[in-house]
Amino acid sequence: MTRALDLPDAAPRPRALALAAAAAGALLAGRVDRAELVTQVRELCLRTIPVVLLALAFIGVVFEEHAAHEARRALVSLDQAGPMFFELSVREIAPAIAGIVLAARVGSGIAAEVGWMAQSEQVDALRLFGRDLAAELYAPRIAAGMLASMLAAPLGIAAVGLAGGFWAQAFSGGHLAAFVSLRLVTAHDWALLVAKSAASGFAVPVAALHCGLALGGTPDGVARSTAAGVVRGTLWVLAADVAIGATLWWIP
Amino acid sequence: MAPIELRGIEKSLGGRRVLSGVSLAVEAGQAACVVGRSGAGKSVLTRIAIGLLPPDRGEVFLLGRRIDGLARRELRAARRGVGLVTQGAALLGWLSLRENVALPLGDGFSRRAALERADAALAEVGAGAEGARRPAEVSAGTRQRAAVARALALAPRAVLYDEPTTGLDPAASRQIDALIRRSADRGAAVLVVTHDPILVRRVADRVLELRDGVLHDRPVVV
Repeated sequence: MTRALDLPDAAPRPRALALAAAAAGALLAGRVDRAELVTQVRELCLRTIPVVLLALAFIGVVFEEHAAHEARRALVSLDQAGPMFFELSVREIAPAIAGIVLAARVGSGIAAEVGWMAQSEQVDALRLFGRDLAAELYAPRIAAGMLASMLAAPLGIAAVGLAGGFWAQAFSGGHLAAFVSLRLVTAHDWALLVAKSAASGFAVPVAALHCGLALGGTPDGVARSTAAGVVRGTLWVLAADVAIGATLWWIP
Repeated sequence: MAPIELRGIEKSLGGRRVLSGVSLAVEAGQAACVVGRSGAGKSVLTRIAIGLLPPDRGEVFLLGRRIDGLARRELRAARRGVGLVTQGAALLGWLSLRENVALPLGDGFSRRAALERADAALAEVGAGAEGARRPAEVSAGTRQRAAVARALALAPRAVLYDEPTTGLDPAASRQIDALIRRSADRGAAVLVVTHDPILVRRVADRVLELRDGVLHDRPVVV
C-alpha cells in the first residue's frame, strides 16, 4: 500500500512526554478501553513472560557457574554465595533482564503495530472520529506492559534462583536452598524490584508508542519505528534502573 | 457560505512551502476535483480542510463554521456532517466492516441502532454481505466501499475523498466513482483529490490543479 500523504512529515508527531502524560492521565482516571486491555494483556503477558523466564533461567545457570568458580578460587563454600546471588537477582538481575526482554518483545510488537496503524491511516481515523487515543490506544498497551513487567520480574527471580540452585546442586556441590534464600533480601531490595518493574512496564510501551506514531506512516517508517522502539525502550529501562537505584537509597 | 471553504491557506512542511495562499470554496451539490503530481500537497490540502492538520496561515470553514484552532471536542462536533474517505480506507483492523462503519455514529445512536444503520450503509454501497468480516479478510475494493459507507452513514453535507481509487482495479474504481457522484447528486459538497483522470472525467463539476503550492482552475473535460 502506498502512503496517502504526499509528504513524509505531514502527520502531527506527538511528543513522548505528552504521550506519557496523556496515558498516565487515562490510567489514573480509569479511562481504559476494556476489550482492548484484555487483548493486550493476552498478547503481552502470555507471549512475554515465558521468554523472560527462559532468559533468566539461562542467566541463573551462567551466574551459578561464575559463583562456583569464584568460590573455589576463594576457598569458600558455594552456599555462602547463594543468598548474595538471590539478593542480586531481586534488586537488579530480574527487573533489568525482564525490562530488556520486554523492550525486545513488547517494544517491537507495539512499535510495529502502531507504525502500521499510522501508515494505514487507522490513527487518523481514530482522531477523525474523535476517539480517545489515550484510552483506546495508549492506556491498554501501557497497563498490559506494566502488568507483564510486574509479573515477569518476580517470576523471573524464581527462575534465576531455581535454575542456578539446581545447577549448583547437580554440578557444583552446592544446595538449591541457598540459591533461593531470602536471608539477605531487605525491604530496600523489594522496593527496588517493584519500582524498576513498574518503570520498565511504563517506559517500554511509551517508547514504542512514540516511535510507532512518530516514525510510522511509510513502509520503511514501520521498520524504522520497530528498531527505534526496541533501542529506545532498552535505553529507557537501563536509565530507569540507574535512576531508581540512585533515588531509593533511603529505604532501609 | 459554501460547505467546504478555505481562505488564503499557507502551509510549509520540512522547510518546504507546500500550499501558498490556497483559497477554495466547494458548493453544495458540487464535485470539485483537485489534481496534481505526487508530492504536490493534495493530501495536505485535504487534511487541512478537515482539521487533521493545522494551516500555518489562513482560515478553514466546514459547514459554515471556522475550524482552524478549535479544540478537539469542538472540532469533533464541527466534523459531524462531514465525511472523509482516504486512499488506504483507514478502517480499524480489529473491528468488522459494520463496526467500522458504525464508528462515527457513536453519539446519538444506541449500539444496536448504529449497527443497523451501518448495515444499511454497507448495503447501499454493495458490501452488505461482507459486514461481519474484518478489513484484512476482504478485497481492497470492498474495503474502499466500506470506507465510503462510513463516510456517508451520517448523510453528510460535505465529503472529502483523498485518492479514493488508487490501487483499485477498473471495476472497483468505477463503483467508487459512481458512489462519489451519487453523494454530490444528493446535495453534498464533494472535494476529491486525485491523479486519476478517469475519475475526474466521471465525477468532476469543477477541476483545479495544485501546482507549486497554488491552485489553478482547469477546464472540465466531459
